[in-house]
Amino acid sequence: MGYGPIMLASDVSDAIELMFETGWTDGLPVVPPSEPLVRQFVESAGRGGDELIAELPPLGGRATVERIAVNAVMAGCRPEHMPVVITALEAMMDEGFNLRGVMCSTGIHTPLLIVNGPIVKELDINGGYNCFGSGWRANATIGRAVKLALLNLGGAIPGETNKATFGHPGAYTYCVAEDEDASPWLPMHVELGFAPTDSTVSVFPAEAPHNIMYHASHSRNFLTVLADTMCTLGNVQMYVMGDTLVVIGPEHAKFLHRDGWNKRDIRQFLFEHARKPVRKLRQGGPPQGDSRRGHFWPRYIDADDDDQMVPVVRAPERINLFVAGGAGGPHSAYLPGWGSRRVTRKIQR
Amino acid sequence: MTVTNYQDRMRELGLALPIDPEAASRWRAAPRLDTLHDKVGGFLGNRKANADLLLRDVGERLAKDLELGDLIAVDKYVYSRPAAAEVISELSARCDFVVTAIAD
Repeated sequence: MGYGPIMLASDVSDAIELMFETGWTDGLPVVPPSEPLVRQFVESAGRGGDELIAELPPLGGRATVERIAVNAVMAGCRPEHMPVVITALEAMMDEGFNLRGVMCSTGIHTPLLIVNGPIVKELDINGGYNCFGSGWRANATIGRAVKLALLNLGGAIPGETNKATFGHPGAYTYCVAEDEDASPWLPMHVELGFAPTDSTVSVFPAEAPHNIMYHASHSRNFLTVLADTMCTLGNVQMYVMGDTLVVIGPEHAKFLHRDGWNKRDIRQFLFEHARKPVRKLRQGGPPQGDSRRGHFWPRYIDADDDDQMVPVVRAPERINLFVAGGAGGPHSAYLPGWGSRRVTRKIQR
Repeated sequence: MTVTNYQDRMRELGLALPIDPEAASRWRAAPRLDTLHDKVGGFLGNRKANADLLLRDVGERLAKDLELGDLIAVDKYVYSRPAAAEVISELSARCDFVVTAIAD
């Protein structure tokens, strides 16, 4: 038997199969969380193993540092990933994030992690080519560790407490870095008041990235295309508001910067142009089925006036914006939210 | 294999548990009433049209078939969030039981 640091190959195979039997996996094989490995991860976290980080909804499982470490081992993390995983889970407990709702809704969103600061390079978290895709261990495993914790400790079990109609490929893993070197503007965490030397993780309940293709280099036209994509009738945000997320590709960022657009200007433009009239939104059908009461539009919008233009968010600052993606591609991305907030926390190390 | 067996097997393999084994047991069902006759029922809606429909129908049936003493219907403000503390307090103070509904 595989007590201690040595496991036989047959034990490893048994352990992997056991995780499938118990449902303690996302559907992919996991790394067996041997006790020595877990201890190593706890040490790397720099916190006591019994320290309670969160009681994760909907089940309310107590996510101690040690239990988070178990899930991080299973996800394939390295020990030094622990502070990011822990901070992400802490951030999700902010009331503004509404983790219980995020994990139980019929919607198609799932928590996304956005990492900023020096830790991005230290851990090789990808913010460049294929940053929402596969191929980077840190992105794949940090994101997966968080999702395994939400499953195993939070009890967000698909089809039981997790009522997502379709689910989301990002439910396996969803972690990206801002490419601060490619950005002509302040990084997202610095905009939010953190120091450039701080490392942060932001959490945001995001739908899948929707590509914004724009091959020319006219800033106003590009932003018009982007705004048009953001305010579709099927976008839940047109009714529930909350935060939304725009990821500007490096090529688009270059010409926006060249033409003098800063992040504040971009947000203001998108706030003013990503709008739909009340008459169209009435066709869309808000969650409560009554457009006169079934929305969280800004108070200044008159829901009885068909011509009023409803913005995709309640205020420009609710549009989160950062730069990522590979060079050379004329693409950006829009990730609708779900009515709750992006939350950012400093990673304690 | 039961949950206990799983835990035993994990221990045999020298593996740590990725779950909180006590989590489920911390949740308890509300105390059951012997009868609903003449009791005051609270009906907590989530402001979604289909949930409202379901809740209203259940309320009407209970009121008619079991002769409730009274029926108090309130809505929480945001369907995806818990009801405000004052709503819960009011229902606790005034009702013998509370029914809520989830429907999208």
